[in-house]
Amino acid sequence: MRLASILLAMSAIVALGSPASAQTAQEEVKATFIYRFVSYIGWPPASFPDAGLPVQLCVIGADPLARTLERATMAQRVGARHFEVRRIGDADDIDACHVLYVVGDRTAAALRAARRRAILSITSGGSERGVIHFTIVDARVRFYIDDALAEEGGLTIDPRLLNLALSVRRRSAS
Amino acid sequence: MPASAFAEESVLTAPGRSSDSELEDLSLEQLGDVQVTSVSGSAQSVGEAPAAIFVITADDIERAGNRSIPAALRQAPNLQVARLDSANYAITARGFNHSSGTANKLLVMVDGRIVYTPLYSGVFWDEQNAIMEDLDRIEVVSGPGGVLWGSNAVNGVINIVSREAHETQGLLVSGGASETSRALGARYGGRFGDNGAYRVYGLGLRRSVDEPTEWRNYQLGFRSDWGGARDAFTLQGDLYHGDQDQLVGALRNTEISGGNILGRWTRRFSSGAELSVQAYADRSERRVSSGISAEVDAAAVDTQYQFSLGERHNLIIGAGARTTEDAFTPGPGTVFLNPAARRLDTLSAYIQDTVAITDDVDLIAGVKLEENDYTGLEYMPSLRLAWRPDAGSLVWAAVSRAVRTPSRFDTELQNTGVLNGGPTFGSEDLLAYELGYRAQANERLWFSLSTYFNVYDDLRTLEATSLGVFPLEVRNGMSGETYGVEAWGSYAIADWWRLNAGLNWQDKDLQIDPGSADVFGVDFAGNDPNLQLSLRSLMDIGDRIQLDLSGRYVSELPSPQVDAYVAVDARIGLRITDHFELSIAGYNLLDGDGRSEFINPSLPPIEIERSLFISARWRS
Repeated sequence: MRLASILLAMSAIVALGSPASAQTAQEEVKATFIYRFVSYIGWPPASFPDAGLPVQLCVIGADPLARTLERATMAQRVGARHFEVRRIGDADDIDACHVLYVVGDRTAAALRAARRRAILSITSGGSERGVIHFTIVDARVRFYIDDALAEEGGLTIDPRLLNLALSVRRRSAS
Repeated sequence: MPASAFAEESVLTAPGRSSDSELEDLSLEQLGDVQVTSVSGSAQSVGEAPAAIFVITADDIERAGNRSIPAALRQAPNLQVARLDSANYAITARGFNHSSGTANKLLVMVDGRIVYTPLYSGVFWDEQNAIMEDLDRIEVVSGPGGVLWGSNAVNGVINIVSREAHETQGLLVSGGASETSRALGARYGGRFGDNGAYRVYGLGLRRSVDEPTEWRNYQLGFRSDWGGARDAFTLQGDLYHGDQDQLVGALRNTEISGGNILGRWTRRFSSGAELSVQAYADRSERRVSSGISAEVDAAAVDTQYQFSLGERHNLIIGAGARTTEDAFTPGPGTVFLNPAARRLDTLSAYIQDTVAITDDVDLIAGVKLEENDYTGLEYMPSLRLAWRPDAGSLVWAAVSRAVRTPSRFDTELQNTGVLNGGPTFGSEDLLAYELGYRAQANERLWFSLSTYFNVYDDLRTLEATSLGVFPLEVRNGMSGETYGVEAWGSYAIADWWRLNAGLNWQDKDLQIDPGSADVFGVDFAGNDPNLQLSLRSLMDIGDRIQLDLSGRYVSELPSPQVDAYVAVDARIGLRITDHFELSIAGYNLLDGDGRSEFINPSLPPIEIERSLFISARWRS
C-alpha cells in the first residue's frame, strides 16, 4: 500500500525533529502574565491589611491553568508577599481574592460579584470581559484593559501596563 | 468600598526573581511576542488562518435563542441554511444545496468526530443536538479545507466545539417552548481527583413545523477532561433516540437512534510541540415505517503532531484511519443498495508547513493524501499566502484542490430498470482560487471580505445508458465554475450596542460535458440563492437586559423555484438574577401566512410560520 510508506516517512520526520521551538502553550504564557500583572496593579490599603499576606490568585473554570499558575508562582515573590493560588467553584467565594481569572459558565456571575471590589478580574476569549481580557492575535497572547472598570473597584494600573494593551477603556478624567 | 487612592504600601515592585522557567525572564513586552500553540491544536489556530472563517461564539449561540444547532448556523454569513421540515435542514457553503436536501460538499465535525454519513456524504441534522450552553463555538470555514480535514471538505467545514468540562460546572437546567416546539435539558458538572472535571446531561426535544410532521428526540451524554499542562485527556459520549412523523404521500414515521464515544490525548512538549491522538466510535440507525432502514457504524483513529523546525517553520503532520460499516434495507419496490451492506476504509496522511518568509508574510503549503475503496489514492494540495501589512489586518490568497470521494448512494444505489448505480462514478474535483482581506480597522470596526473562483470538474450527473433513457447511471458528466463574494463585519456603535452585517453573493456557470447523456441538466447540481444579506443589532442594556433584532434576505431559488424572502427575528433576554435567565424570541415576524425556504420535490412543501419561543435557564 502506497500510504504505508508515506506514513513511515512521516514518522521518520517526527523522530528527527527535536526542534528548539519558538512555541509555547497558551496557558503558560497566560499564567505568566497573570502573576506578573500583580506588580503593575495598585490595591487600596484595605486589600492587604497585613504586610505578610499572600497575594490571592483565584481561578474559576480553568483548572489546568490554575495548576500551571501554581507551578509558576511557587518561587515568586512580589515585595515581601508570596502568591497563593486558589481554585474556586463559586462566584460567592471571591471575597479574599486579589486577582480573579475566570472562564466558562461562571464568568458573568463572577464578574458581577467582582464588580466595585478591589479585585483584578481577568477573562479570556468570550464576550464577557474583566478588567483585563486576553485574546489571541496572530498566535500571540495579547490583552485589552478596562481601566474604567478597574477604577470602579478602586484599583490603579501602572501606565507601563496600559501601554502594552491592545486598547484601553479609559477611566473618567479626574 | 475603599477609595481609589493608591496605597502607600504598594505592591508595585520589580518582577520576582527568575527561576528555571524561561518565560519568567521575559519582559511583559517580550511575553506578548511569544508565539503560542492553541489549546485545541488546529481547531483554534484556524481562527487565525488565512481562510474565510466565521466563528459563531457561545454568545451568538445563546442569542440565536432557539436551542438548535442548524438554526444557530444561520448566523454564519458564509453558509446557506434552509429549513426543510421540523427536523431537517439543507445546509451548504458556496452553493450546491441539493434539491433533496442532501448537500454533500461540506465536512461537518462535532469535537473532531466526522458526522456526515458515508451513505450520501451529507449530514442528518436531526441527529446533531446538544445542550446549547455547553457549546464553546462553531467554526465555519467556507472554501476547501482538504489538507487538514480531508475529502468532503470541498466547499466548507463546520466544526462544532463543545466546552471543556472544567468550564461547565454545577447544575444547569434550561428549556423553552413555542406553540410548536418544546425543549428541556439539564446538565450537572463536577470534579474528580486533583485536576479532573466532568459533566453529564440529558435533553429532550419536540418540534413540529407544520402538522402533522412532528419530531421528538431524547439524548444523554457526558464529557470529562483531566490532566494538566503536559498531558490532557478528554473522554466524551452521547446516546440518542428520536422519531419523526413525515408526510410523504402517507404519513410515515422515521425512527433514529445512535451513540458515540470519543477519547483524546494531547501532550504538550516543553519544546512547544504538541501531539494529539484521538479515537472514536459512532453508531447511527434510521428506520422508516415503510420498511427502509440504514445502520452505519464508524470508527476512526487520528493522530496529529505540531512542531516548529528552526525559526521559520511550523509544521503539522498527521495520519488517520477511518472505517465505516453500513447495512441498508430497502423498502418494498424501491431503491436498494447493491451490495446491501459494505465496509469502507479510508487511510489518510497530511503535512502542512507554515513558513515565515518574512515577519509579515507566511507561506502555508500542505498536502493531504487519502486512500479510499472507490477511487484509490487522492491528493489534496493547498498553497496559501498570508500577509499582515499592519498589526490589525491580514491579506490572504489561496489555491487549493479538493475532492468529494464517491459515497454509497453515488455508486451503488439501484432501482431495477430505473437506476443502475454509478459503476464508473469517480471523485468530484475542485480547484479553488481564493482571495481575502480582513481587518480590525479600529476598536469598533471589524470586517472580513473573501472572494472565490471555483473550477469544478467531474460533477455528478444522472445519465442515460445505451439501452435507452432507462436505466439511468450516475456519472461525472458536469463541470463549470462558481464565483462569489462573502463579506461580514461587526461595528460597535457603543459599548452596549453592536451591529453585525453579512453579505453572500454567488453565481454558477455549469455545463454538461460534451458526450454526456445527462437527462437532468445543471439544476441537478444544486438549488442556490444568488444573494443573502443579513443584519443583526445586539444590545446589552445594563448588566441584565439583551435586546436583539435581526433580519435576513434570501433571494429566490431557481429550480425548484422558491420565492425570495425576508425574515425578521427579535429577542429579549432578561437576567432576572445571577442564577436565572429568561428570554423571549419571535421568529419570522413578517410571515403570518407562512413561506417555504426550500423545496424537496419528493416531499410536500413545508410552510414556515411566525413563532414565539420562550425559554428559561437556571444555573447554580
